[in-house]
Amino acid sequence: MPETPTRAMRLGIAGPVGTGKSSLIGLLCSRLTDRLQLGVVTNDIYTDEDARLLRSAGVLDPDRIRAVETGACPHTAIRDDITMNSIAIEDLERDYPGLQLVLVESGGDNLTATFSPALVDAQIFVLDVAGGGDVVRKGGPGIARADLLIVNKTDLAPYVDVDAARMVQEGTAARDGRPVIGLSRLDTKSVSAVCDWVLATLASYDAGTHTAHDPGPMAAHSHTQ
Amino acid sequence: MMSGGALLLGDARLPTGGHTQSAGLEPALLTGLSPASIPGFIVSRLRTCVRVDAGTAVVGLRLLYAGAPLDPVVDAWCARTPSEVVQAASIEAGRGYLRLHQRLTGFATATPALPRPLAVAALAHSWDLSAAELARIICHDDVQSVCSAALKLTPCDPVDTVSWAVAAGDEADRVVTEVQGLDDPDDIPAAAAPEMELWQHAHGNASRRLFRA
Amino acid sequence: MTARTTRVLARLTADGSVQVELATGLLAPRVVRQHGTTVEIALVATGATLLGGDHLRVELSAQDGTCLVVRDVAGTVAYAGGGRISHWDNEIQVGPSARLVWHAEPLVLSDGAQVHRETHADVAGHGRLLLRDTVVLGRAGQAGGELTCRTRIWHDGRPLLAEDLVLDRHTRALPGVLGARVLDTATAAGWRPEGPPDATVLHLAGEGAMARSIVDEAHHSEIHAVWRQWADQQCASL
Ligand SMILES: Nc1nc2c(ncn2[C@@H]2O[C@H](COP(=O)(O)OP(=O)(O)O)[C@@H](O)[C@H]2O)c(=O)[nH]1
Ligand SMILES: [Mg+2]
Repeated sequence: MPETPTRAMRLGIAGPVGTGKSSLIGLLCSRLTDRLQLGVVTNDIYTDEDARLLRSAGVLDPDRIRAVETGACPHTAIRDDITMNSIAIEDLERDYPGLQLVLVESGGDNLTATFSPALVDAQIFVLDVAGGGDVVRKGGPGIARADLLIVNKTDLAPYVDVDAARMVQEGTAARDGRPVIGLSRLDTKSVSAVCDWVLATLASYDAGTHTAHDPGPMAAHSHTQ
Repeated sequence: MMSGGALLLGDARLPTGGHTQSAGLEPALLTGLSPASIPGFIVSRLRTCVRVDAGTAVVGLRLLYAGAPLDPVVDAWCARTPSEVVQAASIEAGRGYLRLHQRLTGFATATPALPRPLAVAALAHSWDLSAAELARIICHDDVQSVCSAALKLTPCDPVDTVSWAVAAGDEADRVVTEVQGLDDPDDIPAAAAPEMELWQHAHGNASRRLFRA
Repeated sequence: MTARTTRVLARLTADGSVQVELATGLLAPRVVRQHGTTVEIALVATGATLLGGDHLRVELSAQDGTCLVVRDVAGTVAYAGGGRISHWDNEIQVGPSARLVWHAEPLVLSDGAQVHRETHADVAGHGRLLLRDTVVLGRAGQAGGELTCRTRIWHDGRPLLAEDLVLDRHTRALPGVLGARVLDTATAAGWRPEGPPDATVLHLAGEGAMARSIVDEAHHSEIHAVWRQWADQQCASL
């Protein structure tokens, strides 16, 4: 029987700037705070913009939201030197015994940034429709192999001439069947789908059946499908 | 010859969170240091707070080799670091080293928090470094933290920052010579740069920071 | 060159009053007032100080249970010393439950002055010390002479503050060392003054605080207000 973990699950949230990572954390906090002991670590390049935004949203006790400076190296802070993020998470665990889930927002970075498996147990990669329908096809380790891909702001699709359903479909194809969710905060069903995915992942983590895997480096470029 | 341990400690790729530190440069630039003065700023630091840190590290290393407690040298460092903001930033940076140390060797200090120079000294002790190597590392890390942060904070050519580090070499040599033989906490240099201290002190309340300190 | 020591020692007598012992050096101590266990002393210059080669030494001691308030009657000007260094040593003792406040006036370094100042203070467990220290580099229109200040303050047998300031022309021109003519400092040792959070206040790791302001004109210093507040907390009875 696999060992059950003794510490909170760490869920990383990566993706380009402005795709909705902080908003997603806000949604998850407001939906899950009654059921789970939550903590948040943010990594915005400008100190605590994200932390402040989340604190002022009032979705979680402000002390459970910690900001980590990255010295303008958001990629380094989640991948090659995770020290300060690890310390922030360990502090949250020390300050809040019984913590179940820590959400770690990466400072918005390019498509190649993914979390080190030593920092998080699972990760979500967030894109939005406004970034263009072909972003998914362009790929990258997060898009191809994060535990969950979110195509956010589907409500905006008609305004940016993007077919959101097709984006989700192409994502699913590019990800060998790994999950993709089209999300809009205006669409409660899609919000529930993301919450359900988080809860299911946490349940398998708690049961000791979840394996962290690394989306890995940028895949070798190939034009064949 | 530099030992392997010394090279590891002098390498910014060592995972200890060094990329979050600007060695006082960001606070300085936010408060009015002109980018043209950065080479002089590097020398100012070597004359003052880096001397304090290097001396602290060396005395700490001697105490560790002697199996003696670090408390007197922690006190001496605190007395030479009046701003609680600067103290906290150093202790936080020290945690990066302590965490690495703990993961590698199970090392645990009796004092749960150590300022950065003493956390580095503890690793230096594990890796059998000499006092001179340790003092050199403290200087090198500070100079390079300023240089690499300058690339993020000001428009400059990476080659220029290397020339600053080279130009600061003599001053760094003097620090190493001066502190390498220290063994008494009371003899740790106490040279201060009051203006820089106030700049760094203000960083605790700065918004839109890129660097922790 | 021998030091001429100015000495002020306050001790409690058996009947609960304060007995003061005074000695005159380059500065002469005068009792201004005495009330209960508090005694206020003024330090008066006995001649033109500080000249090149002068060695001014001040010993202040507030023994167990006394409150010693020291005021300078005027600031001190260090004159061009023709290459001769002037020394100024302060030796301060604060006994258990004693209080000592020194309302020091500015030390002004004229062009050509070279001053080496050392301040050593020992504050016992429940003693409280409050020091003002204003240095002005240059009289009006001058760049000012050279100053080194060595400060060591101990509290309850442990180092509380150790600072060496090298303010020669070369060093103080380095970025981040001083940046202006006036360095104004208030230091509390053995206690943590109360007050609204203030950007100028550094909270020492031990029991103590230091408030600092670096300005071009002494009257712009932010320390005046901090000082009044801290001094009121220290010896409210005067
Ligand atoms: N229309 C729409 N806008 C969204 C949605 N989610 C986030 N946004 C907006 O996208 C912008 C960037 O969001 P933010 O969470 O700060 O992105 P981050 O940089 O990835 O953290 C903000 O203006 C949000 O209000 C969504 O579902 N629909
Ligand atoms: Mg964000």
